[in-house]
Amino acid sequence: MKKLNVLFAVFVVAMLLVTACQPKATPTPEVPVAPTTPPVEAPVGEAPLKLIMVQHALCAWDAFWCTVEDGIQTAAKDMGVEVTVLGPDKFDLEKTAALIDQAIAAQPDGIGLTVTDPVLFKEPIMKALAGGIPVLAYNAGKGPVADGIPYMTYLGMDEYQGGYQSGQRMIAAGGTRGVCINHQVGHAGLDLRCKGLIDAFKEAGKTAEVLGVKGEDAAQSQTTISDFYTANPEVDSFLTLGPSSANPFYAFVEASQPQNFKHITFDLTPEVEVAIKDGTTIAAVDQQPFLQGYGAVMYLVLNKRYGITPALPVTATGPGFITEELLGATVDPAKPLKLIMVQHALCAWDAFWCTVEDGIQTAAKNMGVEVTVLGPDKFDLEKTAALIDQAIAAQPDGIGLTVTDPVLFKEPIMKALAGGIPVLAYNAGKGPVADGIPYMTYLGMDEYQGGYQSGQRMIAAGGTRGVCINHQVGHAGLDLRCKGLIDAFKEAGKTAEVLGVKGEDAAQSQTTISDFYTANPEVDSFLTLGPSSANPFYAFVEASQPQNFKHITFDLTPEVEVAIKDGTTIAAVDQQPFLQGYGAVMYLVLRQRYGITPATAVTATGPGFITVDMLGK
Amino acid sequence: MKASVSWLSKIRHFYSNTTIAAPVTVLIVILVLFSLFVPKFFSFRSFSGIINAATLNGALAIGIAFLMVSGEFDLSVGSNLAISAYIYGNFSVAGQPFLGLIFALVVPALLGAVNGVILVWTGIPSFIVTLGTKYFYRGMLWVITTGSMLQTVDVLPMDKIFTGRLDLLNNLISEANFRNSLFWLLGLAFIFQIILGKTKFGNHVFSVGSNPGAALGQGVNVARVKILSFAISGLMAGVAGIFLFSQFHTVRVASGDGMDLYAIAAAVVGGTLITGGSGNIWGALVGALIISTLRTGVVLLNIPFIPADNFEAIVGVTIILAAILNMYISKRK
Repeated sequence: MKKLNVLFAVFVVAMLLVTACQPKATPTPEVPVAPTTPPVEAPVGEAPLKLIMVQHALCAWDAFWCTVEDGIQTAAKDMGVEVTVLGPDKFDLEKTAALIDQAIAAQPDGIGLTVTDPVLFKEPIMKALAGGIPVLAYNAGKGPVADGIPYMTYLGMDEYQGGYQSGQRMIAAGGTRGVCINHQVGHAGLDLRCKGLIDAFKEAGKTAEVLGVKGEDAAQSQTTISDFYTANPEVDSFLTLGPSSANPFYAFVEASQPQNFKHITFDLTPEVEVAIKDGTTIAAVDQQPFLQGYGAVMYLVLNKRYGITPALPVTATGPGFITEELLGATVDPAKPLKLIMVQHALCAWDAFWCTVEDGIQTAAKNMGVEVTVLGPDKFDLEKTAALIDQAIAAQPDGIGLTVTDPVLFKEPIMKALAGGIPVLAYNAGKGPVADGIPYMTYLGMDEYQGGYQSGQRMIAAGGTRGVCINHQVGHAGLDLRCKGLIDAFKEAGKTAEVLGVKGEDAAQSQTTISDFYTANPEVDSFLTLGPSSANPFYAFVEASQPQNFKHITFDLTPEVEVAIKDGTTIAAVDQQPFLQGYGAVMYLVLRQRYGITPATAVTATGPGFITVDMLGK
Repeated sequence: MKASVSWLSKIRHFYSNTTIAAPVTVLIVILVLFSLFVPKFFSFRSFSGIINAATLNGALAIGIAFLMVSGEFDLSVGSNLAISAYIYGNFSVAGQPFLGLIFALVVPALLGAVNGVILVWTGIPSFIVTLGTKYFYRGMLWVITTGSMLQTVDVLPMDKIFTGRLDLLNNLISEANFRNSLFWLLGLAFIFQIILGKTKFGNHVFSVGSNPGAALGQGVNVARVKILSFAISGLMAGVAGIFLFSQFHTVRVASGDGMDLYAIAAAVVGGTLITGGSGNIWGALVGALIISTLRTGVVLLNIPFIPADNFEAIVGVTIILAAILNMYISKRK
């Protein structure tokens, strides 16, 4: 007994000492799933902002744009900003370009625009950016990279995903062989939709092909479809890419009466609406114009107020799928909502989560909904799973959660979905497909893009040969970051490789980096994937004094902050936890009020890049 | 002719009676081969890098070798390293580095002793006892720190003493990057080799390791010897933790995880018998250097199909070869 007391006493003393004086230290969050620190604090607070949106068309003369403008005005109201929408009184690109100039002259806090003509619009957009006005594109554009204009992001349809997810839905409905009816073969966007469909069928071990029809001749198109079906009667899944192919398809259905087929089409027309209601068509693929308008305002405001940047060059607002169920739903902008968020950690005991919860509460306040955040009082997955059950019992209008353990959480999530409660994941998860749970989307870091964009930044800074210093080779997320870096260098005609180091032994890692640099002195771009590789990297820099190198790392720690300030490190890659919390609430609210669904299985909140400019704010 | 025979037999005698001879020879052979055939290997940059890389593993290996001579293992040293680094780090950041130093040594030593007490008390093999405490210690560390990394960007003056740059030497030799930890390691190896080889306690450690029954019969307090040996293993894990925080100013809950096996590998490669009763502290340090030399060689060779992350394969082969060599030498005895 005496021995037992001694053992216990030793242990208690040991653990007390470990925590001794902890508050004075600078702890930063770590594994399991929350590897970054809060980013910069809100730069300007909730200052009254003035935004200008410039469109090539207006609700006044094109009904499609009423939905976009509704999104814009709703976001403006939610976020308490003043938004002016400018547009020509008829389709006129020259005039639209002139309106951009007019917008810049008004010195707004942000400009959103439809990049209908990147050549014509480049000059005015560059002028705005030079003047320090954040700019993003919505509805029309190809993204900053493809358009060659460094605006923040383009909010629009992900064409490939439109086709891909349509394929998945038709396969889920029993489809075995697909066809993509393309009324304009050679049109990049339409070809991508077909490629997505074919890939979805291929991944499921089935086949799909493209059938080109002449969109301008509906009669000819109908016969072509009919002939194709006669030649290939085993085809049971039809994707049409817009009214020009959907319309002759319906004529074919009426004339030839094919049995047991599945049909999805792009764009909702009155004809498609009838077909969805009578069961001919499973769904209409929608680019979700409301979300384009809403998202454009939201990203401009989040950028100005909290330093958030969109994670990807193209932010997908679509595909959304309009099914029979959604057609019946009514839009209710004022619907009072009660949401519950269940997390595996809380701000109360892990500082990282304060930023997430700040995002949640800000969105709740902006959108006027009631949000309760639940979490265990220490890391405890069983308890977290029990909290999900508790959340379901409260019958909320939506549940957001961190899917830390998809096996353990699957049952309660399925229960919520069966009860008609929309569910999405944030911060921890792999997306509905990889997790095998059909929740709406997962909001988190796009690991591949984190590596890829880091590579692009290092190349832009003059990097010629890269290395990805991986402290845990075999970890799926870290390997993806390295793959992104290598691809970015490869695309630029340069090379990059992976250097594995032992993250648990900093001294060994430092020497390995030094040895690698000695063996490969032409390497000038270093990507470290977290504190475990960044820390020995800085020790290497101090000891070996390499010259003219570029360094980017994941996760902001006190050490990285100093290195960014003194120019050793270009940027820290951030998963933007604020956006994870904000986005989770926003998507649940938009789903319930406007029938909006997130476009992709994974909604990227990161990478965001914390540079010296942002640290200064 | 006669002279050469006696010369050969002298070498033979030396090899069969000194456990350190074989690992030193292996290290020299590797160094010579690498210097001849590996581009850019022969430099003070490489040599100082090899020593720096062995800092943490070397400190752990000193304690592990001591314990292994007594016939036991300690898999919890990696966890103890992290605990020590958190203690030293928290106290240092709070402006109490001396207190931190004391507690960062005493606590791991006590936790090491706890391993010994459990072993003596229950008779469970040390492999199982320390496998349990390895996870238990790190698990509790996780709970208490809530998984938070500890990092400081403050300059902590005391750290210069432990791991600061040895500029006196570095300024003389270009590319060299020696650190003060080198002297600490040499000093500690010297002290523990004296304790092991020249004191009554050291004798007891050998006798407990080679035949505990006989040692007990000769009046050796086997339990005390084992508990103290475990405490020494914990103490050296504490030293490694102090080295880690003082040089890198960073410790994570996962720091040092898996290093226990590397330390055992270093001791084995350095000629310490896995069955106890035979071993050498200097040998363990040389073993750590051999492992770290191999890694540097492999990285500098730049072989595409053996990237640095595949280095484990080479360590594995080295351990087996070293064990074969040790067995051969002990049989010749």
